[in-house]
Amino acid sequence: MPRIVNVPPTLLALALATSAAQAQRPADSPTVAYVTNEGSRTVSVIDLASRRVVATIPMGARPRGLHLSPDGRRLYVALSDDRPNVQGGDDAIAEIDVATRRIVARHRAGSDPEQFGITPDGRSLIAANEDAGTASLIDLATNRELATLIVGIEPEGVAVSPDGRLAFVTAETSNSVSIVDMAARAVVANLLVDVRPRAAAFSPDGRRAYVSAEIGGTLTVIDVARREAIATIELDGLEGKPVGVVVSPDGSRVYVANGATGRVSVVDARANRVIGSVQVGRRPWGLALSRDGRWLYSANGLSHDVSIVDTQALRTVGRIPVGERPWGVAVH
Amino acid sequence: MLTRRQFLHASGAALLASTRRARAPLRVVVLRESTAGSESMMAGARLGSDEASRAARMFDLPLTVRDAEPWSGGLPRDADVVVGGMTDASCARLSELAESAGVLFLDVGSTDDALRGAACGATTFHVAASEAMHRDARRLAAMGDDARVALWLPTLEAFGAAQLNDRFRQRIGAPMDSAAWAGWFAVKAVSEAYFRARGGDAAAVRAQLVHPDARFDGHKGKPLSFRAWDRQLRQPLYVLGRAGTEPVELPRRGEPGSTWEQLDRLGTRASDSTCHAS
Repeated sequence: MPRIVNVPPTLLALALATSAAQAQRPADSPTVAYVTNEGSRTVSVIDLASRRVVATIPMGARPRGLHLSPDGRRLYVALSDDRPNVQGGDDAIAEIDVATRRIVARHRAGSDPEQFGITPDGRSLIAANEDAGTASLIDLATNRELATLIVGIEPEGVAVSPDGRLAFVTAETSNSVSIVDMAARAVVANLLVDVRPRAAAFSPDGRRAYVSAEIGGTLTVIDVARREAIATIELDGLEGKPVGVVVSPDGSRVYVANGATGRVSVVDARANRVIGSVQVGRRPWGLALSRDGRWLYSANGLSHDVSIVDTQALRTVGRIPVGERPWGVAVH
Repeated sequence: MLTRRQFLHASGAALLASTRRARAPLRVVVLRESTAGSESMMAGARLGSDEASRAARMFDLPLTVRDAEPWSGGLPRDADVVVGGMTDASCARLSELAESAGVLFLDVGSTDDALRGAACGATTFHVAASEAMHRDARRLAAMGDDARVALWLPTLEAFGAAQLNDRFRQRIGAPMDSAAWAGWFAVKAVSEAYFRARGGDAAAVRAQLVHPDARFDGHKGKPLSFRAWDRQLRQPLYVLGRAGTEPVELPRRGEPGSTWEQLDRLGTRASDSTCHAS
């Protein structure tokens, strides 16, 4: 993404949104959100202009993590069966053609894939295999497993750096973040972070990574170049149970979903401190932002809906009922 | 401005420290006793040992766990940390021996309040819940004086409990009970304290275990920590009634107060503690 300096934030957001739209889709196509529903085993397709579910895609298995391809034409959804610790027939990353809303491919990604990341070139995918303690690197064109890497115990969150060179894989039991060199296909460092790390996200410039710690109740800030945790930010008390993390397109804010209190913490990324919080639905986990960073969406597992947050006013402006137990949300 | 002598001393100390880090692993010994629950506790410790060894390689901090050493009645040789105490008597003995040797001792079996009170040991940490915690749990659950109190149940699912129960069943071939959980958690807590200290000896690990910011994940949905006044692990408990009834989890979900306030409703409070060893 080109970096633009000395431009007012609104213009910057507009410029980024416009260039992204021109590059990736027709200017008039509506913005769409996709939501994985763990309970009803479906993906809800939401038209964000009308704020309504316009389609429901049956997945035939339990969907959790989801990502759009960089060109926005494909949606990848992690599917598991109900038996952890065994690679069952349903364990896969499903590839959905966004235009037809049909599953067009299934990629094997080890047992019980939950979260994964896609490289910026759209060619490969790295998935965390929770029970195996590994991360699988998959070539999406050939559907081939390029490598299986040993990471921490109970791996969970995955984030690929904006330049595609690194992937961070969190692990809940070992309180670790494994840093994967994607070209070398090897773990090059393991960092100790706060207790029970869940999601990870990079800043747009790739210099920082943010990791939520569910039992620690904090967000760990990692200096990517130094491979070092440089700050641990208290979020919503020990009862907050933070999970989902997203960084604003300009890198100025980090949003963290506190699953147990139903609040999203807003972190100032320069000061590394919480500057506000917004009440959303019950047990928010997955978060996504509109491309201009103006709207934040949370998938609320226990209220079975998606909250829409105005990030300027810092308040919830709407809720969209989806399927049962929504887990994650992705916006295009 | 450092004098030359001070500088040499400091660098010498640094060199010694790095040599120790490179060569001397933290030595954890899990004791086998001929009592009920010991086999199960050791099975838990074995899973804890697998996981701690793997994490030790990841963080490049050496750690050894001897996970089934028959207890001779004394302190095992070449140990920085001892896990055991399946009875009040063995716990009392080990607590005393550990304190005089500067060894850490993690009690995984004794509920004796006296060993957390007037007879407490300065280097003893209690993973097993005290009798006072059991009493409070029964009272708060209102399930009668005969109700069984568990540290862990093989049927727990939330907060990563299903994953832990699955891992144990897969590794050991049996359901994870309270003794197994205690063995697993003792090794986990010690190894995590060691990693957070970035290596070191028993004293460094002890400092981490009692650090006010220390938090441990026992897969019970709340952060766990050791109470400063008697080094008793604060933790949720499960009270079992008659067969076929749901166990009651304490603290109950959504209880008022901070996490530590909720957990400290079970057991001896700081103001009532008679433990003076610190």
